[in-house]
Amino acid sequence: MAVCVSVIGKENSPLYVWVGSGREELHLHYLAHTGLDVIQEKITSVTKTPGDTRDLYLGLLYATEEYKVFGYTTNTRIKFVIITDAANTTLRDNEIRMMFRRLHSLYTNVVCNPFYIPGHQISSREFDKGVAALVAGN
Amino acid sequence: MALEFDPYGLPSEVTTPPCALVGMMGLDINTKATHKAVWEAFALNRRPDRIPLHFSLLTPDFQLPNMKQKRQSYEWYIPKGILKTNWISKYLKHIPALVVMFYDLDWNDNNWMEKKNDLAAKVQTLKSVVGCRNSRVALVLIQSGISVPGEDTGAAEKAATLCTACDVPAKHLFVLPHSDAHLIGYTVRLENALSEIAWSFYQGEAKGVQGHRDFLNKTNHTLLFVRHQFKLGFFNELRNDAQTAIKHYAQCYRQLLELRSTDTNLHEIRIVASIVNYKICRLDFTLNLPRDAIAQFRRHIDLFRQRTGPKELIFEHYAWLSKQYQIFGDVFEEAVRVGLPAVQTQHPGFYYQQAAQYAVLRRKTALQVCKDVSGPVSDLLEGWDKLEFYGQRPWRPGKHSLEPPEQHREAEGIKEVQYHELREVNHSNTIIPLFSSAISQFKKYRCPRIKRHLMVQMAEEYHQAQDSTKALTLLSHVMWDYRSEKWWKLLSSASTLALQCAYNTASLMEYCSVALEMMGKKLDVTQQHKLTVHANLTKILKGEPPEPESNNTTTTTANRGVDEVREAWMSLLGSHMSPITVDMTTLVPCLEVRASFTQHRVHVDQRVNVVVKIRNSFVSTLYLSSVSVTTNIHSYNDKLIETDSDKLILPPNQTTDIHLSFLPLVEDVGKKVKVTEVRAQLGGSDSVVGVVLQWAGVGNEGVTAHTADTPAFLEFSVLCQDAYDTTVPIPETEILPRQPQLSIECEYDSTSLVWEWLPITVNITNTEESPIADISLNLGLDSSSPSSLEHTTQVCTSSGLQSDKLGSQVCGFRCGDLRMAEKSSVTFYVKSLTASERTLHLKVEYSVSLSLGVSSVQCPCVSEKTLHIQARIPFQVSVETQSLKFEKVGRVSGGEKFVVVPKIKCTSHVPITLTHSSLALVNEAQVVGSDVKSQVSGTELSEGEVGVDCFCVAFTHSATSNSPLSLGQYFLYWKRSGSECVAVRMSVGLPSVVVEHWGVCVECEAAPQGTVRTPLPLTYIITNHSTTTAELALTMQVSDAFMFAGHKEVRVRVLSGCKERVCYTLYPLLAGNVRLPRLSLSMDSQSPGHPTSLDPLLARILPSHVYIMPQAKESDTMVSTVTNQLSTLLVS
Repeated sequence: MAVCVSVIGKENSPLYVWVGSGREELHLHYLAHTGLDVIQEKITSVTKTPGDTRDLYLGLLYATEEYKVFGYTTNTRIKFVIITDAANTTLRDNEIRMMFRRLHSLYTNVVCNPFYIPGHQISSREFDKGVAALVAGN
Repeated sequence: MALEFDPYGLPSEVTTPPCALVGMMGLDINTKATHKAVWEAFALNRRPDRIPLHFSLLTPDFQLPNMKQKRQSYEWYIPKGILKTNWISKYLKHIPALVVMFYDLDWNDNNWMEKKNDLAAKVQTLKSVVGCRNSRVALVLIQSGISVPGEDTGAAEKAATLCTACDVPAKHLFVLPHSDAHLIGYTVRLENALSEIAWSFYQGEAKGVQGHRDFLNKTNHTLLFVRHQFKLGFFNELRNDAQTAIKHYAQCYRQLLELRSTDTNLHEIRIVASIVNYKICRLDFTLNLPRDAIAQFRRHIDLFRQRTGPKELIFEHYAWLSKQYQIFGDVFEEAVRVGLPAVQTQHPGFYYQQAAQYAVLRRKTALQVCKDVSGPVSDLLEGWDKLEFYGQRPWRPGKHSLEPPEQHREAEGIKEVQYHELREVNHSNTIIPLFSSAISQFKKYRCPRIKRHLMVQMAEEYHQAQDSTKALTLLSHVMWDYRSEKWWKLLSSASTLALQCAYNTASLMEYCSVALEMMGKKLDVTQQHKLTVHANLTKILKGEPPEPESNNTTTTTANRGVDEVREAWMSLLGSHMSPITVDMTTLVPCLEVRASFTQHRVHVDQRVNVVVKIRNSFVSTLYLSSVSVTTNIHSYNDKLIETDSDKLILPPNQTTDIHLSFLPLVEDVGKKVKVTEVRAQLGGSDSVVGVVLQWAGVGNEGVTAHTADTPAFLEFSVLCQDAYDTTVPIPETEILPRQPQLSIECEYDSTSLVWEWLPITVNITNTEESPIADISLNLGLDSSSPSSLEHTTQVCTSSGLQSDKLGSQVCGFRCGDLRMAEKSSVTFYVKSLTASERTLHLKVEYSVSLSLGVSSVQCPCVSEKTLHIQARIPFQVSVETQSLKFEKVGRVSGGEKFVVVPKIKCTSHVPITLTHSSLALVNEAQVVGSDVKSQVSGTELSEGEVGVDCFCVAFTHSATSNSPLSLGQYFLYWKRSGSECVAVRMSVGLPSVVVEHWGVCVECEAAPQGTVRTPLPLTYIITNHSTTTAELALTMQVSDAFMFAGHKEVRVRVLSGCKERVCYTLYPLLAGNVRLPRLSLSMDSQSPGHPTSLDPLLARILPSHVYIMPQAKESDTMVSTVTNQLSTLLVS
């Protein structure tokens, strides 16, 4: 389903980047990184009213000829970026939203680990497995 | 071949905004000023709000392009292509929709007939020229005067005759009054009228085209369907009818898609599609329909992206796609410029970006498919820019068949195109401006990261274009951001490129900094690559040029300059250059340092230690030849250096500690030493080239601060495996004065008495290991004390005790020198004037000579102590005035004696001794008696005890009467019991007394006691102090206790200054303290009949009682003894 899943920290540094095998890894890294521009714009333009329960799912950030970039941000300013093939028209918005929710709960599990230092790169077998299941679509 | 010709772009006539062409005739702008003004009013400064018209100045002998033979039937006509290249410019530039004949002619012109005929002839000539093209003709009479309607009735008639003569419709005749003020207004109105005529021409033309359609059939004339729709669109565009134009262009685009396309005609179809698409998008934007424009563009791209054309010319496909995106970007950007709002996710930048990417792909594919091309074989490309139809192949012009007519010629033609692509096209010149446009757009729409990505791509392009310097500049901007956001993967790719660029430009510093970064563990580079980089760096340090960066992306063109680059390195390293400095603060290098003091504060006689931790995150051992630390105090810097290369071997993945130290200087006491910089020289002792690594601060500034692995929350530090990441360096240390080795003891009573001089004895013992000199003592109120205490505290030494002016500080009391273990003591005195707590500060300064190593220095030391004193009031004094009968009085009469009784109540915690007391009386009062003695001198009082003093005082008669009169002051001298201090004088104000003036004074002479049934003499002496004679009435009242002999009632006259005695003999009847018979006096005053009673005075001063003893029995001798003793007691 997805070709790239990335978790990006509060200060916009990557915590975890998964790239589907056989894909142009560097290019997808660039895409995930550039998606932050749109995320940042969306976050700053929305959070004006306090107590406003903003949707964490930010929707399609932008699309190139080959890929679509979707974004999601947690309340602690952790960003998730999922990139799919632009040609993949079977994926609906709702499914993307579900993927982000699952990713969010996977991330929550990582943070709950007392041996994880917040802000450091995620190296967790459980998380790897979770992401693998997520992108496989089951 | 023209330099500007681009076979994939849009021809210039297509991009020119079409507007109706109006020809102007009869204007002589060179000689006639009026004509010039008219021409300029029409043709110059055409702002967008004016009607889109294009004016061209025609000479009288102009000609129109020849008409083709009108075709009678299309039955046998086979079109040779889709759009003719000359058609658009024909209507844009050569065929005017309307020719306007200007003529100077006033209605009342003298030569009216002549001129009318002249004009008619000219119009006839003109009509013969334009007639075949259906161009309209209009007449404009330039008139000097303004004709007022109704004034000149001949005008309408003349106009009618003129129209008939010239054979033009009446609506095509205009008058342009020429007056400077309103010329623009007239022209604008005229313009409106003219544009209507011009547009009607285009409408007529369009009708003509539509008329042809009936003759067309679908088998042979599919191309004409496209062409005709295009023409209709274009005519409507000329008519300024964008809506209809879009409709026809869209129809045209649909017809175009219905054409069968093969590899042979694909290029023509896509070029025409590009033109039509451009027209539609542009019109959509002008009609403010950006969504339609974008949708049209997307459909256009989606339809043609799959039609790649022949494999040998695949690059043409990408060139064409790139062009499409670029054109759309330009159109979009133009729309934004005139006010269309664009957003972050939809703006021209995206199209420029895509255009750039396709341009890159074009080059890539071109290099692949054209690699076998040898050289120019023929001149088949001749005339590529002058074809009859858009998008056709120059080697088979005018052929629009689906199969190539000649296989061989076709193959040659393709070869030609390939050769052209490879040799004649400078791809970088196309790609770099596209990136540059995209970057500026993304910058505008707040996409810094996309901008950075584009900058990397642009740098790659510069690198390909052999302009590594520019590439390096671009990369250096980008890498900073990738570092601070910790996108190591992206940084790695940028670094790899930067290293190649640095190599190509032989820039040593950049090469070293990139290399050091790549050797670090953060960057995602293969182990093998890291080792190669290290080997190259080692080579540089030894003065040898590094190996070229072998990379599979390096193209053949990039390799061309390998030898030159090697030359550049050789000459650079061969020259004896000064060491280069690499700023490590901006990198995430393989060597990290943290310089830290070991303590926050250091005493001046101790060594200051600095530990430099160096972590090597490279995979093998690194060597340094020196490490130095720079501080803000320069004199220490030459000591903070380590050059022993044995200590500077840095094993991989380990932290090496380097210990440095220095002795602080005495003059830097109180200063802070701060690490400002850490420097290290790379390479072992055999290095030839000096590469100095420089870290600002203690080594954790700049990028390092962002990129360190230190957890954001300190609580997580325990999870960090490397202590290097969690230890916080101490960046500065304060140099404190030397720790004093002096024992100071203070002896004093912490509870002082107010007003007393409290002695404080300071005992100083030299416990230093050498003699001390220049001892100076300061004692004073602590600086934090409130200012009220400063005025109520006095401090002095024994010499200052007698001084009047004493402050709350004693400064710089010299105490000389002390040898080792010698003692000295100084006494200070402190006087507290209020009962409160005081904090005193004792500061002992001295200097001691120290031998530090070889030299010996005088080192100043300071020892300080704080003393607390609680002052309390030692006693309270209350003073009363009493009559001689020891009754409290507030009023006395002049000359009357009374006593002043100060009572001293001790509240001191220690016994005090009153040494002396005295009265200081005002002039009107004086002490009675000559030998006045203090009753309390020498008395010692403890807490709670009371001492009473007593003085007998009388006012003189001259004292002012009937007003309170202050008596003066009471002085008491006192000190602590057993203290050797001088006694302190304390003064208390005496109470005020009201002096009465009676003029008469009565004294009583009586024995102190009497005995029952024994006569007792009693005499009253009446004295007159006044200047007048006093007339007194005296009454003696009867008493039960006495019988008496003497006047019971008598009038007495006392002369001024005389005395009168009145004598009685009393015979006591009762024993005890018996009331005397009451004497009552009243004095005649000035007002007769109202005598003044003297009774209040008498009650105060005369005795009221007397002791009467019982008669003694012979046997009872004791009683008489007691009686005697009692009498003495009463007298005293």
